[in-house]
Amino acid sequence: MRSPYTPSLTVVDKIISENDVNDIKTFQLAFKDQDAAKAFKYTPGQFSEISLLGVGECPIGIASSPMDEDYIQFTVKKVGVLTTSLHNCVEGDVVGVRGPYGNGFPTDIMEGRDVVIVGGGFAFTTLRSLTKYILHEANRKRFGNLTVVYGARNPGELLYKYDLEAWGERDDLNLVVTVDKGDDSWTGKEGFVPAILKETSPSSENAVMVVCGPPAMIRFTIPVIEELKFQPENTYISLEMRMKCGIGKCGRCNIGSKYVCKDGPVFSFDELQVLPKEY
Amino acid sequence: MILRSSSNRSVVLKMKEKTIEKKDLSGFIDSLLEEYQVFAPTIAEGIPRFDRISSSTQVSLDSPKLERSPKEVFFPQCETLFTYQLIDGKMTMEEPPALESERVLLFVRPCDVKALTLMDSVFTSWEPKDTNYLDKREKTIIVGRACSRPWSTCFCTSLGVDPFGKEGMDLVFEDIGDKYVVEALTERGGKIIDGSSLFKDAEKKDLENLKEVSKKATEAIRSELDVKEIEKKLKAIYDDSFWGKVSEKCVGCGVCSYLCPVCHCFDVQDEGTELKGKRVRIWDACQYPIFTLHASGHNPRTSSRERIRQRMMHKFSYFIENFGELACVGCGRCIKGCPGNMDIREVLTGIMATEAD
Repeated sequence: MRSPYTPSLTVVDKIISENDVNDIKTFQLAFKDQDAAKAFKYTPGQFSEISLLGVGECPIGIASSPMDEDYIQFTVKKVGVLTTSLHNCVEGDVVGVRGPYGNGFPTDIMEGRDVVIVGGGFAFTTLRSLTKYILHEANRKRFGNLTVVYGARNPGELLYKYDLEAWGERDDLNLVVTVDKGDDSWTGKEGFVPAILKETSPSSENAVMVVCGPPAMIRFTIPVIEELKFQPENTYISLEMRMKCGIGKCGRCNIGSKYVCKDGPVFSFDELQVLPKEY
Repeated sequence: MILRSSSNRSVVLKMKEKTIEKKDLSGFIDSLLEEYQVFAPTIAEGIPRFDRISSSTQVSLDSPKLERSPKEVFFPQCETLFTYQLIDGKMTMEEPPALESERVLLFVRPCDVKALTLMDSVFTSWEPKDTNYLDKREKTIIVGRACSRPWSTCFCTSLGVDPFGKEGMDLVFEDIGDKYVVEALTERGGKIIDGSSLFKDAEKKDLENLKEVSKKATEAIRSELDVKEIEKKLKAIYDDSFWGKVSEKCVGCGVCSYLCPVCHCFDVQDEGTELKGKRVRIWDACQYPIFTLHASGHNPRTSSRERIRQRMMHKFSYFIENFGELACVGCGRCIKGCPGNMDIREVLTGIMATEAD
């Protein structure tokens, strides 16, 4: 009887520093055990419990796409005890992974419809998974037009610059990247995500929107979403909450009767409307 | 009568009642010890609790002090999830072995057995199941005891729990004075008394006595609360100033959750170094500020107002939504244990009496 609390061991294959201040890194992990690798089937928007033995465990969204078969990636900001230790890791170090957990984004509902992805700051990680997933050649034709609006505080804070560059050259998505304030070399858009989303004005007809970002961005984006006539049942958000078990038993990540780990982390706006505003 | 039982228990027809003289009880317990690991109410390190015993003399059925609930027999306060060690550059992890044989848990009150069935909902309803809990639960025969002497803080009957109820038990002992009426409720409950000469068929007057005792016990529970449709009431008063007033008594010690037979929240921590150690889970409580504190500093439940509300909402609203039952059995331990004299009965009465602001 294998306990759900025992992680599978992975090895850090590659570490990518994502921002200028070097407090956000992408960790590329490879499972030590091939059976564990095969068993780890996920969808965009799911998360894992990442652990360093002797330090602890915390939930991190999966940043790679399910189509990336040889590895999984987690983009981690240095904030607390575990993430600081993780940032001190080097290639070859051993990291524990449990999961995948959570419901993920509703890719089945998105099929045959336009998809609008709106992200701000560090919250872009699982949106990157979703974007990569939709753009994969095996999947792209199952979805309609794809619009990605992504903003960061400044150019140095933009994650996945290598992806943004490659996506910018494609003609099968409308990529709109913005920064709150540019620097001398910045030639792209300047402005906050809500304003840029309004300017981009994607059609809500037969479309699904996914939005993730800091609370202030979400607060100012909601009126724009309403103005663009995206219905609450077609608008999704991924929530964060302090977690321990990741499987709906330890009792701390609930919002009302829902557990963010098990029933989320992705909720539609109409699902959230009936829950207490305790997040 | 067909008895409903939790999923891991066989359902059998009611068997004929037996009796055992009180003076023979120790003989029965000692005979069990020859075959099983036995857990029973005892005093361990000065604390009345359910613990493993090695002799019938350790059993303490009339503790004057507040006893701990039997949840720790299935969900220990601190439990090793796995150990790990770096050997020759290779990290190995080892889970504690599954139980090798069946255990017997003796003399659990109906409210506490009901609480176990509620905890089953959390730990075993959906995948992945909590294997640590499930292993202990599946391999433990539950011997209940009817509650003939309730505490002054008991209010189980208001929440639909019967002090002579048998839900979730494999075998039940009912005190009728100088002997117990004993009833096997499942096959494996019957198994542990089968063949013992200490048990005799119950006589008519024993069963009449039992009826009388049962009636008296139910009447002895004086707390009567009306919590009908409390889940709707709670939703209506979610933002009410009531919660601010209620929380003034709370010092945030979390003892209510620790003593509660239904509270199941836990924390996961590592003990050791990167070379060798163990990952453990330990009881936790929603009354602590850091319970929901994000690494970013954000906290969705910043004050005891939100935390008391969460505790009550979880037990009397969210749990009903998820499992169709209340997550409180009216055992009254939180009332006895609270250093601030918070009385959950008063809180419930307050909720029912509050009209939304």
